[in-house]
Amino acid sequence: MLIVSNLTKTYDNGVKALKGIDLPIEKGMYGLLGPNGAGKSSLMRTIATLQAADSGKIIFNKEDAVSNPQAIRRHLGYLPQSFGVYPNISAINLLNHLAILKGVTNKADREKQVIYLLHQTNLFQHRKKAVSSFSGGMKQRFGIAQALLADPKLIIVDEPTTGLDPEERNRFHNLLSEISEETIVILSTHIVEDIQNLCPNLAILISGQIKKRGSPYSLLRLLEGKVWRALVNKNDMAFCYENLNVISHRLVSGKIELRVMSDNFPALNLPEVVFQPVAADLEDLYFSTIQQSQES
Amino acid sequence: MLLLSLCRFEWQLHSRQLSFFIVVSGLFITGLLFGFNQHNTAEILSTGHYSVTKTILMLALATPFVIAVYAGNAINRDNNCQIEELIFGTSITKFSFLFSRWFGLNALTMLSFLLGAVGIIIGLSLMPVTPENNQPFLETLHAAMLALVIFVLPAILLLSSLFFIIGLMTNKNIALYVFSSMLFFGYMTLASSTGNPILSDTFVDKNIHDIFLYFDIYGATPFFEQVKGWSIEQRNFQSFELINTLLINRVIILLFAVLLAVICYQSFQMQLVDEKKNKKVKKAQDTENQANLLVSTSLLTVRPQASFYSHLAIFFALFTSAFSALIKSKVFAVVTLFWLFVLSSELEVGLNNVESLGVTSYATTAAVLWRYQFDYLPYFTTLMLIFFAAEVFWRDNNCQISALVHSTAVSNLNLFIAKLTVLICIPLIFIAITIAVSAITQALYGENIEWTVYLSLFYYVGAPLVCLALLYLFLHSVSVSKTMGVFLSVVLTLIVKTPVGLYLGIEHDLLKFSATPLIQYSDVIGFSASSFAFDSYMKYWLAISAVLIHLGYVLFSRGEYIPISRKFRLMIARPGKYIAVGLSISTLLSAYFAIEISRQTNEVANFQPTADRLLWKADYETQFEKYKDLPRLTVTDIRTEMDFYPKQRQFKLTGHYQLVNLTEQMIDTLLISTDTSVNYRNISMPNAQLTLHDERLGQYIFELQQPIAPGQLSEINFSVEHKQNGFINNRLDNFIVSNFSLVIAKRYMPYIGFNEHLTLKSKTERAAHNLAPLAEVLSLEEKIAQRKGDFSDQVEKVNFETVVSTTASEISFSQGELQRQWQENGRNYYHYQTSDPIRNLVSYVSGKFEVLTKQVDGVDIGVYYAAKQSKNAEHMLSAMEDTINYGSLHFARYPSKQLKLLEVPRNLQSGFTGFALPQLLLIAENVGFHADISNNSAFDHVYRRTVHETSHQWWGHELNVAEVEGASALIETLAKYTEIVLLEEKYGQQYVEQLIEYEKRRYLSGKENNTSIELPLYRSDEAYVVYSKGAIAMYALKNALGAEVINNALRRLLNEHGGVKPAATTIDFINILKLVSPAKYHHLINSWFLEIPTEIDKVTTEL
Repeated sequence: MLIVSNLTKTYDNGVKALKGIDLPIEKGMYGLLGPNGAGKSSLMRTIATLQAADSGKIIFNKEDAVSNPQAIRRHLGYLPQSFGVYPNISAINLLNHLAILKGVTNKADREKQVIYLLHQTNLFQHRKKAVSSFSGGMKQRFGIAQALLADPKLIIVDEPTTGLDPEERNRFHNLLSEISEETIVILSTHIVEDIQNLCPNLAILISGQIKKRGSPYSLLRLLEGKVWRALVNKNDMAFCYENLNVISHRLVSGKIELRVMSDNFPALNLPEVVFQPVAADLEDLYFSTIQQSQES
Repeated sequence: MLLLSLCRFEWQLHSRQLSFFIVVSGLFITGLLFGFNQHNTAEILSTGHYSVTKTILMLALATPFVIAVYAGNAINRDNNCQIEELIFGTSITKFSFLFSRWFGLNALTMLSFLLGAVGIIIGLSLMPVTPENNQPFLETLHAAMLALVIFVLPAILLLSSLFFIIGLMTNKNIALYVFSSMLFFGYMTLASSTGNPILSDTFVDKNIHDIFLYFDIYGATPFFEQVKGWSIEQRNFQSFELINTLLINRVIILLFAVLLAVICYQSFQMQLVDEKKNKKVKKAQDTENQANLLVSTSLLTVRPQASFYSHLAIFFALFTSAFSALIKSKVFAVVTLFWLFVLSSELEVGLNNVESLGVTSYATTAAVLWRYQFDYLPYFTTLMLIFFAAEVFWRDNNCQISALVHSTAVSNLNLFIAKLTVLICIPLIFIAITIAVSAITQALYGENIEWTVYLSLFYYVGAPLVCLALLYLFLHSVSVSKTMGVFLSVVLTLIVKTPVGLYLGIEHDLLKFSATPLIQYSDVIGFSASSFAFDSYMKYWLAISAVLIHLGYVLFSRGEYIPISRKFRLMIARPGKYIAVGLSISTLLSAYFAIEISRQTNEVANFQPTADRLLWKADYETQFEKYKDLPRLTVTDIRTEMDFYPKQRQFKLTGHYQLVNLTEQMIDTLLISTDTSVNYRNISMPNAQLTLHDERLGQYIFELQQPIAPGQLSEINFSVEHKQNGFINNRLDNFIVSNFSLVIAKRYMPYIGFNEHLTLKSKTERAAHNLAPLAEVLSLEEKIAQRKGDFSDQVEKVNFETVVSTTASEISFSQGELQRQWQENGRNYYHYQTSDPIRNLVSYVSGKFEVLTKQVDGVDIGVYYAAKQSKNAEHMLSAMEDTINYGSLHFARYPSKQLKLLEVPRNLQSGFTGFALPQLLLIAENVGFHADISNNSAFDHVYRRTVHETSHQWWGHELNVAEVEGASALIETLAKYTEIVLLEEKYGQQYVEQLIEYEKRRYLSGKENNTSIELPLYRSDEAYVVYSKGAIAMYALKNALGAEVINNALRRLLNEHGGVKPAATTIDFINILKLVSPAKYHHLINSWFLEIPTEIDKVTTEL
């Protein structure tokens, strides 16, 4: 189990990236949702021991990772949002190298694992090519492979599906799901759909604070009966925004679909705008949380 | 408008960079230090045109480094910041793009050097103003700006174009830095063979000089060529002219700048780097999706290990990854090739140019090592270490892979130690390459390869470099960025490895990281002269390095950079047990070794910082000058017992002077001066009271109970001990090591009276210590008039007797005939005594030697040399024999019964090649024993030099020479004459002609480069006059008058001024020469000796 309690982090330029984060995370997939600049990567880097928190605790399997970072590193697989590689080193050699750094020093075990992961990430046929010459998607797959080295018990993946095509994305999701049965997997993303499909638990992080936390089901229940939908014209949109609690809008068949949050039927003096109650989804939860955060 | 905007943007971008402020401040401060530390040289003003231009040229040497720093930003920033796609996707034209970058680079560089020049001017203006230093400010400013425009600006334009090409080709900043080092190094190596006074190498390669006249980037060679014949007045007040070779040079450089710019423009393409560069790289093509391999996840359960073996495996993986990245990089390959080129050139030049007129060298170990061991190799490796340390340390950050690596369970210790190990390998690699090339060279020359000596280079050269590597590692550990780390490394290196440290007042080696006493290899004594001192310093620096490594490890950032202050707080709050212990031990060791070195340097070796030394001299003069005119006793007899303890590097000398009052006055007070670098255990005088003993100044004043009347005798007894430890560079006259000891004891024995040699001579230093300017030196004629031609009191000859002892494994000798030798208590004893008085330059030798001896007309002659240096001994013995035979026949009977020639280690601190003591000749190993006499196309300098030094037994020892102007002429010019006649006898006149041609060139070169007014030969003591012009003069006179006439004159000179007869002046010789030669030749004698012919060739042919 991973327990993050009251974690704070302020950068030297004064930006308060984390403001008292509390997160208990058990085995399985855990989604971390938030907009750009919310502090997701900061939280990920802090848990991955790449930066020190100003205060707070990180306990992993009853060991204090703040005072003893090695306690977490031994079990960690980390895929950062962006990363580089050594030039002119083949995928198999670099993976081999990283496996050694992770303590897989037995050559036979290491080879087995490296080959397996290359297959799993569909990189086996490119294993002898320089990672620095990989396309963006291939490099991302390599990153996933290295994160899975040495049987990690805690996997942190930060925006992992960036650069992956839909099929690769699916494959990655399947892989993570399999692994998460015995492992804590923290998936940090701003793609709501990924969380929705994979994570039995999630937290929404905005401006360095956890705004909502729990299972999708329990969180969505809070929005039950409060989400309304209507199709509007572009001209009416501004009026709607002024008079209603609009949480999002998007284009549907050339018209704009508004989604509004209201305890009651949204009253509007526009006869052509007809609201219907809809079942709230994770996107609604996400946008409404952002909106609430902005209003507060 | 667009172009203007782009240029303005470039300016704004660059001028906001930290590197800009660092470079500008660095150049300004350097200029300030250069300016402030300029000293007037004789009559050359430091603020005069010549000096200012020379100082600007010195500063200009930094141009490659400055441009490299700015070029990275100007050329590579788009690729580094991954913004190329945005830039190249705009409508900017190639011309606008390149021009704006070029403008930014050049504008910044020019501004930086402008500020450097301002620093020089300010530094010059801060110097104390003296009448000699008072150049109008505007003149100095004009000189500086002109030099900047004419010399520095074209160099900047050329180099910026060159760096543009390098930058665009490689897209790597490291390539720019390494290239700048190679350019700097290459220029320094080649330019030092052009006679450039800034680089002050005496060897001039005419071919390189001629090439540099036209292709010198900075125009230094044509500038110095133009001013070569200038008078003092011209150098101070006249500006150079942009004519002849200087003009051609500057035009060529500008044309090259334009050409390179055009090449750059033509070859540059506004495309992404990957597209245009990596066409050959196999891009990984993604294939069609394959069936998903649903392999059981059980294969993933491979647990990491945490044993000692696994830590070792991790370290090895980190090390090999970083090491192979370094070794396999193109930059490293280029650097290695460049080093091979420099090394090979150095060896080729060094072994084939050991002396003028084609003299080549045996490729002995010392001859090979001297080409690089104490300068090229350490300096080059230091430069490379600075750059590669940055690359190795920041590799993970550069590759942006640090998040992957630092989130693994690899320990900080492994990460740190792996980097440390890679850095340590860098100097070891360069040393290994150097050894390989040296061994191959020696093998090609058919010499034995001394592998143990080469392997010891890993210690003597490698250990200080390893310490530097550890220092750089520490600096990077505490730095926030690679730039900061490199900056700190460069600044610290400048302080500890260049005169910048001296300018800042850092003089003691204890304060200059990794500094050691100069350690040089000699075929005679190996490394032993400085090895103890070197070992002591290395223990100290390794302890300091251990401190730095501990701190560096603690402060090493993994992941996010943590400010040092916070790290220190964490370290103090939670100190690691092992770190605390390690840090404490290494700190204590550092302190201990520092104290020991300080004791050895300051107490045992009596080190004095420059300021203290000058103050000492000033105090000596202030307190004891009043005794200057006291009548003095003269030493007539010296008896000593000299005991060598070579293993302890020590001697004990007990002595007795017999003194006589040769004056016409009663003497009741005696001032005795002693050298404070030795320990005087005792000095006593019978019937006298010691009324003053100034321990600091080493002065003793004895008041005699009964004054000593004229003609009366007296005596003093003394005992001295001296221990040498190599902590201060070994002197020419003071080598005490196992298997070789040479002590020229005059320095260590009591000096009677006030010693003028211990006073300050420099005008500036005298003024700074409130001493009155020195009295004008009387000309020769004035001195003769003052003394009425009587210099009899300047005859300093003594009867000498000594018993010298040494260990059983060595032999000892001194001047005089061997009376007896015996063994006692495991030591060898030798009793020597002179049969006739000799000049008071008593000396002692102890060592293990190979000896080649012969008897020549009742004189025992011998060559004493190191076992592996036998090739030239017989030839030298033959030269000694020829000289004794000739001298005895034509000058006077050889004045003693023995003559020894001793091979001495080459000493970097002394430029001497040969030195003659009474009955003992010292010849430096490089010119005497390394010169290849089997090379028939080379001039036989070995023979020539041996004859020259042997002849000093007459000219300088038998002949008494007055201490007046022209004393050197009498001694050296007559020795040159002896060379000429012996060479002519042996090899013929044509052979001698080539020597004379060489001396002509040497004379003219000396004349052109000399900063003071040339005196005629009879009054001169300048080397280029007394040796070179003297040789030409005597050869011309010999051809005109005949050797017999000259020999006759020399016989008479010795007859009148040899033995204990009054000392002679050049006037005496000229008068005698005129007496024995026909009057029709007297004008020739006058031309050569009394005048300064403007064209020496004309004088030769005139009758």
